[in-house]
Amino acid sequence: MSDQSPVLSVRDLVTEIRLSERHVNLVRGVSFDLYPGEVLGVVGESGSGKSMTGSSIMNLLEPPLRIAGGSVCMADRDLTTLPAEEMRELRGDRVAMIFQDPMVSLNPVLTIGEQMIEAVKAHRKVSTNDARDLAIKALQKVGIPSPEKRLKGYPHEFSGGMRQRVVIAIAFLNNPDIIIADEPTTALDVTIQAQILSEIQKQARESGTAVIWITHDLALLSGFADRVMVMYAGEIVEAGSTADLISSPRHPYTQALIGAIPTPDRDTLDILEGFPPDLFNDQSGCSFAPRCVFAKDRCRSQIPEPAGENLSRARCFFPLHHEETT
Amino acid sequence: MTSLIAKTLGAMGLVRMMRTRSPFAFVCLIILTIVCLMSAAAPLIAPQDPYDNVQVDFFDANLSPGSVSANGAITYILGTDALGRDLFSAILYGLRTSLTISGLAAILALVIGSLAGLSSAFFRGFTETVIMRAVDIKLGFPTILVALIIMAIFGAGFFNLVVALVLAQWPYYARTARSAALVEMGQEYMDAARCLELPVRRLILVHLLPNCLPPLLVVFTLQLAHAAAIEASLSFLGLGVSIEQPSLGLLIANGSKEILSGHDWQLIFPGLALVILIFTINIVGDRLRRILNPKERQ
Amino acid sequence: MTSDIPLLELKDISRRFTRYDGFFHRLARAAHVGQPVENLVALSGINLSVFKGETVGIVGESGCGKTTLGRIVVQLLNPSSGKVLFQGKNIVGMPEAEARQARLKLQMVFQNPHATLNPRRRIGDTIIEGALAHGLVSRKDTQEATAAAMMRVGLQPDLANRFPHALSGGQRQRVGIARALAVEPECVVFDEAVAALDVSIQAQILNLLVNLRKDTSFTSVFISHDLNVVRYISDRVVILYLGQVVEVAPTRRLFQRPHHPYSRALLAEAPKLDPRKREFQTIKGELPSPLNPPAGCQFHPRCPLAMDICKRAAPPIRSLDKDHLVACHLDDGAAQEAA
Repeated sequence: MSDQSPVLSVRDLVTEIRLSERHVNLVRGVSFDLYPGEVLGVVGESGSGKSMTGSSIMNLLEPPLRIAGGSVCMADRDLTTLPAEEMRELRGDRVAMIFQDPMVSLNPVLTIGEQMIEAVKAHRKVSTNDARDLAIKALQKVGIPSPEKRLKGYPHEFSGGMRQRVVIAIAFLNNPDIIIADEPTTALDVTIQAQILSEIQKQARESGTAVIWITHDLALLSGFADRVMVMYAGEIVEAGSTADLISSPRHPYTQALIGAIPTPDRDTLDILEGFPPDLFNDQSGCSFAPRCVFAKDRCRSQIPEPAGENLSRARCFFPLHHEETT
Repeated sequence: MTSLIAKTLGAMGLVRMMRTRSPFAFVCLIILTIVCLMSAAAPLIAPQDPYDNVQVDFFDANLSPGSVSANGAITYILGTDALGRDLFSAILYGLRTSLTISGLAAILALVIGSLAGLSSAFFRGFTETVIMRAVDIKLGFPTILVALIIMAIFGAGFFNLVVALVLAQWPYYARTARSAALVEMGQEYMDAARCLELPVRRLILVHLLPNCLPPLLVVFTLQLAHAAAIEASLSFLGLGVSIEQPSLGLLIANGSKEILSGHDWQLIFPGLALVILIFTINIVGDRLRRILNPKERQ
Repeated sequence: MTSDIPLLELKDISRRFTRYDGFFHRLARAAHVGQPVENLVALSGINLSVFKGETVGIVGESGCGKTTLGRIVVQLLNPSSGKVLFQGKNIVGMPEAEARQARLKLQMVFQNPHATLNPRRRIGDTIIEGALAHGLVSRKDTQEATAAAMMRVGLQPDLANRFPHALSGGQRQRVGIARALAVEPECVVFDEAVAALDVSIQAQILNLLVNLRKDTSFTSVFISHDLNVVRYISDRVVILYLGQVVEVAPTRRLFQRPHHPYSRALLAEAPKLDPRKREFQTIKGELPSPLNPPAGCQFHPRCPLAMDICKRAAPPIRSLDKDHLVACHLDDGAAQEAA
């Protein structure tokens, strides 16, 4: 996969919140590459900065949030400095975003058909009829029965799962290079979630679209993502192929996260004590040190090197070794 | 006791927030406070008691602002009226009556209306239907009309005026309390409190009421201003307090008769007092609404 | 662990929610202009026993009626028909004074850590209020009792004077649990009590529940959409689909040998931590509208193994084995003959 050139390169991305008293960094130096056709999972707990990373890439931040540093390069264009007009053209065409609540992306007073046709025509010079055919095909692909009829429906006439499928169909409509999905299946039932995951997987494979899948659920990513990045306190603490990361985590946080998930073969859960750090309070050393059972003096005073530029690297002075296991 | 202190601190917090968010409303709050204090202390600070015939000198009638009384004892800073009463004193006494009546009415309407609204949200069903239909019927008539009818039936007087205002105003509190309470009833903490089998009185007063209070507070300030205006209107029409009691409405009514005689200050100053009172209450209430509404918080 | 008489028994519980059934709607219908009554059957014919000392998990997707069921158990809702037997006595329609005592023994822990606590009351007051109101704790022992209740759920007693907004989601959920336990209930219903929490916090709460279960008289009903969580915490699992019980089995047995196709699908789709890439074997379609449920077996439009009989007849609940009940025509001798 890495023999291809990346479709998106994020380098040292810093997002800050500007309050009257001070500025606080919520995303603190995130770097990664995204390759065509891959599903990259971003996992973290609430407040880890995972959603903020997604919105920063899409340049969707509203004051008091803003990008304070770094670059987001897509085909030699830096999205962080792109004029608003060009960015709008890019969104929905080359880059699409799916949110947890499908109603964020759907207009309640327009029919699904009107919205889909508009989405096609906004970025391509096609006739309304061709646009409609494209919309019908897209709805078919995500498993919506009798799409011709459904085009005339309004969003409120669809169930939650159907609505999310429509949003996914719209996202894939223009064959974007990148789709950023922020917890799109969290509110859905497992059977519906599985249907949507399978559709995304299929679409990514067929059209070569790269997917960034932001979630709190590592178990969901385990069967789905090609690579996983673990975020903690606004930093990537570990990144690697899904199989490596889950079978032999190197960062103690990743290991704790895995240990806390109830799975069919587990009778006890590992407890990670304490809470994520309050980013509004300055802290020296590794951000995970206060909760880390392996923390040494060095962890509390020095900050480890960032992770994520190379595969399978953990942001840790004393990464865990797994030779003795297996 | 500790809860009382906490509540006072909460109120202080609101005042502080008002000072930083809206200095204009803060100024209004200060003016309002001064007006309230002055009218409360009217017997102490007024140069004369305009309703005591011994103190009023009929020969001082219709003196313009700044004139000195015949015996040289009082300077009539706002002039005198047709009966020779010091207008400044009359306004202070009138404000006192207006504020007492509208304050009493607003508090009673707040208590009655809130309980009605909370009960209808808590019990739903038949209780709700009866209370809310009564509210709907009342809201079908203009407040002033309802008050007029009640005063016409029972006659002028302090007590009747309070009753009329309460009857005219409780539905606004009931409606606000019900809608706030319906939201809170959907919250899990209310379910949890119900699971604990707490007495109904406790559920409504300890759990429901405090969480519904902010919007009620806003309605209270706005209805207070409204009550003051209605009180003045009714008194102006002769259907308010009895004629021997001081009232802004009566003063305005008297002043309006004098306007063609060129004694315009007799209308302007009582009117100005009423405007200042209602304006400041309204501004404070409106900014309070913005401060308490999380959606409008920056 | 189990005795003969269940602590709690639901008998043939149904719950309907109606719309357009008020006085004026009826009047309008009489004049042939009204809308028809909408009947939403949230639960129908539920039978369920909970024995002292056990934890029963209730699993289902949104709209399957699991929350309604929990609310009926603690009597926040009345069933449209059926009985709720608590210690052998029906508490629906019981004289109010007696019912209050019974209901006090049935407590609930709620889902949303942001809504479960009264924002204007201190943590300590919230926890001990019920016990105080019912005279389980005397006024002078309040402080010690609060501290004890807080320690029991792993909260520092010095948090008692805080307001809820100063607490994290996990701490708030602990307060909710302490509040329920403080009145010494016989049975606690956990309604999605860990669903809104982060994984690491969820694990902390789950372990707290496991510790509470070490007390052999601790009885609970654990409602969740997450099979993995239910498996970790329950002795028996009940699977609901569209307001009906489709399968009941001891946890281990259900996870090893699920019988109902819906249970199998749920198990297959539940996210599991497996580094191998997998294909999603999805069951097709969506949950049908409970306003207009399918005829026959309610699951047949989505069932990969649906037979002719499934479209015609609703499968009765039958026992496969001791403790293992299922409502499915599959491998049912009688049904096979009929087909």
